Amino acid sequence: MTIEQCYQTLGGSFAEVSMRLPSVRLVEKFIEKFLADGSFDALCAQMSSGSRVDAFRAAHTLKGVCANLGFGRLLSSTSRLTEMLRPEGSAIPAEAGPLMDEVREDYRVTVEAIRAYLGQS
Amino acid sequence: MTNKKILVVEDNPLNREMLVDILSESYAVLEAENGQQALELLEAQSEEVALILLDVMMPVMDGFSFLDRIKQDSRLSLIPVIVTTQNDNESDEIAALSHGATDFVPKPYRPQVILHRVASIIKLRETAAMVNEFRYDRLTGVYSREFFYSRVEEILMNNPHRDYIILCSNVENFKLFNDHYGIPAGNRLLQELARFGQAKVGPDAICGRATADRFLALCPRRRKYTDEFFARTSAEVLRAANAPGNVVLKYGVYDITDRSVSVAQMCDRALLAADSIKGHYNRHMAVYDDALRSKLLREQAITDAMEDALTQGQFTVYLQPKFSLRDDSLSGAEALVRWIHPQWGFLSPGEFIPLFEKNGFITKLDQYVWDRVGAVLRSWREKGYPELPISVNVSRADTSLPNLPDILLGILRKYDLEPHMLHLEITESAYTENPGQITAAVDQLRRLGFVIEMDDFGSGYSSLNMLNQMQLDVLKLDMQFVRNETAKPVDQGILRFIVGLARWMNLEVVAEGVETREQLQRLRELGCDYAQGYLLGKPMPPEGMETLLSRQQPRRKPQPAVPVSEAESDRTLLVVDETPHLRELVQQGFPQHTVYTAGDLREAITLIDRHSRELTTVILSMTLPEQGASKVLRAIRQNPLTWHIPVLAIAASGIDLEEQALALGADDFGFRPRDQVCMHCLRKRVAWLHTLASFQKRQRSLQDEACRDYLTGLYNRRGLHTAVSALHREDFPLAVCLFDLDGLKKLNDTSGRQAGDQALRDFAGLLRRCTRSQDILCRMGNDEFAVVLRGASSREAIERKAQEICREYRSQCGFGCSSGIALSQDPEQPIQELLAQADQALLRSRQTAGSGLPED
Repeated sequence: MTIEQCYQTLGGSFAEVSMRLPSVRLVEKFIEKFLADGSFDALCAQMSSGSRVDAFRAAHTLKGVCANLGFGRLLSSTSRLTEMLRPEGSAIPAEAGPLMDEVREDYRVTVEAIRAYLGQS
Repeated sequence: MTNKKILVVEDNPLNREMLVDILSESYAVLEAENGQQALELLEAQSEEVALILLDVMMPVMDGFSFLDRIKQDSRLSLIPVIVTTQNDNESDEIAALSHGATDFVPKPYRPQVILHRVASIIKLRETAAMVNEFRYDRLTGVYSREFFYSRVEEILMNNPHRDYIILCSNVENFKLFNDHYGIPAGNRLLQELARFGQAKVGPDAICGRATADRFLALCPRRRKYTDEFFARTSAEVLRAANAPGNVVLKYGVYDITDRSVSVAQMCDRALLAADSIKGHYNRHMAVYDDALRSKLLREQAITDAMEDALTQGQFTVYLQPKFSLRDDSLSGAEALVRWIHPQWGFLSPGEFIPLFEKNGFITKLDQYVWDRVGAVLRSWREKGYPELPISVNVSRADTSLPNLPDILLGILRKYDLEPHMLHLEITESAYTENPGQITAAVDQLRRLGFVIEMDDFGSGYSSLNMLNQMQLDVLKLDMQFVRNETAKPVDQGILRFIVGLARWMNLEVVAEGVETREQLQRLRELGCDYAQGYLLGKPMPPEGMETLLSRQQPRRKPQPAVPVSEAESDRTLLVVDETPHLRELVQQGFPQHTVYTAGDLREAITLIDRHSRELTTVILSMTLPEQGASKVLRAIRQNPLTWHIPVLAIAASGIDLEEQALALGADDFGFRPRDQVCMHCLRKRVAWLHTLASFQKRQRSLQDEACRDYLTGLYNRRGLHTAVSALHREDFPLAVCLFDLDGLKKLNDTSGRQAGDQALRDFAGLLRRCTRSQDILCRMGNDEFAVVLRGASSREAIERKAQEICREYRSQCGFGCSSGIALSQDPEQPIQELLAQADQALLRSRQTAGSGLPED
């Protein structure tokens, strides 16, 4: 798998990313770090805890990381979840549950694509 | 660029690392996980952080709370902050800016965008800081002079039809204020003056600081400005600024009528106007007008002409006589300079002296006057007039000349005069301007034997402290002070107190400017010692003084280059003769003298011991029993108190003992007089011997003076050579030890010449303490000293001594000192050779520290 194919799988564009992160080595360094990044786990934990504010902050962080790394698919679902959690109110809206499932699925796909790429290289 | 620090505040490690990656090539990057951590970091490094990159959404303390906190802290509020936001969220951006962020960058991070923004913002901040720096005066917060000028230009250009003035204010004697209350108090005063001055001129005006204590303002012209208005303004501002009562503000106004004049020139003119009333007690404001302009032009013309005037001899010295109020005798004169210009005619000293004091030419003119006065005193001596002292002026600028004593001593040497013939007048205002400098200079001059007069006492800020601080000899009361005080009723006024105080302090009092008989009578009643003024004698050319001198006292026989002899009544004779008749003859023949008589050797020795300090001449019989003459002569010559007393050996006519007498060390030989008729011969010889002795005494003192370093009292180079040339064979082995003091230049630069001089005197004192009385001590040059030790057999002992002196100096002054030693067993070895060896050793020891011995 090439890095371009990897990005294709996780719904992003390597061409766009490579404009910001000037070398493949640097991209590899950061996508590998993503595997260890705690943002997704934090989001899962906050969603289960039921605090909207904390869940919003976690979703916002994950969204920022995805934007920086150009993970299009995960960025899209996390963005929608962030906006769903933004309006003020104490409880997490019910619609957030299915959206969170979507985020989980996108996270799985993203992580698998990264592992597949890194496993080869 | 790499030395600039950027603080990245971001909770997500991956995002943070990305930012660090982007920035670390160009900047040093500090990291914080949240606002709290960032604040802690800034606490320690706020000065170094050039910019903060801040995430909004963070645990513990989010980005907005962090922004609020740093904007409230004056140390941090100026650090620019770039907020990182999500690019789809405009509300974050607006919120960030409203909390005081400088800019924002969206995610995803674009390295080029981030680096560009960071660089631009840092540059902008630095430029702004620099502009601020140039724009405002750091101390007072008003505009700096340059920015004030450019603002004035701008305002004048934008308001062509509005009338303005440039106003300048000046704190009179600000240096004195600083000296009295200290620099921090002076700075506080300036800050307060700027603050209240700014409030006083109002919002239409702008203010700037020209120099130390001079402020400028551009104000719309509203009224006719009067002195009363400024007197009130000055009082209000000083009161508001909580200034001490003796602070005085002077204002200068330049009315801007001609806009083609440069702003700098406009301000100069306002400053010149303020300067023109400096020292005028009841003037608070001056306007720059045609009269002032002409005055300045005249001053310029005088300045242009002064050098030529000096070389062409346009300056002449006049003398104003001074009389003793005890017996109305002429007691001296004051030298006053007159300038007669070929075109302008007579110029008032009141016009050119203050100008020369300002531009520094006064030192040249003073030296010219000192020289001329020296010539006058010398010519009086040659013409046989009574020798009266002449007072000369020593300006404030003279006292800062490092070689002032040398200049004055040079004049004394040139004309063969004693220091007490020149009375040095120091003005009271010179003391108030720089007390430390004047006191040091006066002390030094007084030690050299000059008589110091405090001139113009009572004209300015006379202080008892000044009388206490300075060693003076004479107090000269200011002319106006004398007139004011003598016009008051007897029981009022402070003149009686001043004269009493002077008496108590052993000062003589001279009253200047005596114009009426009533004033003279009052001064006499008060016990004033001397007076001068138009009533007693106007300033006159030296020839005029000669007429007075010749009237005063019968002319003595001209005595070229022979010093003043003591009055005959001060002379004491010892007659040692075995014949009572001769002893009686001498007692009768010298009625003005005190005469002691001795009939034998024993009596003679007793009287010599008892009166060693009074004796001026000894008459000694060569036929004294038991070879008494040679024993008496030896006793006289061996006693350090009497060795210089002239001895006239006598014998009955027909006995040829002249040769023997002179061989024994008598100064002259004469025949024993048989009766009073023959006494005139003896008297003549005694008088001649006395004159000779006075001459030798003077020669010794001059020689001593020429051989001594005036600062430390040790020998100078010449003295060293003279002293070394008198060494004997038994003084060997000899050691020469050279010392070189470190840090003297630094001490002079940082603490002033006085401190440097003191260090030199201290070192001289240290040498005196650490050496024996028979050792020869010398200051070779600036910071180089030499010690010649007689009978120096042990190198180790000398080396230890040198090290001990260096150590002691270091512990006294904190500076180092190097030494070099040379030893000699050979009485034929020239001292120059020894000095050169010691110098070599000194050089080596400087490299190794400690003292060094020359290699054999």
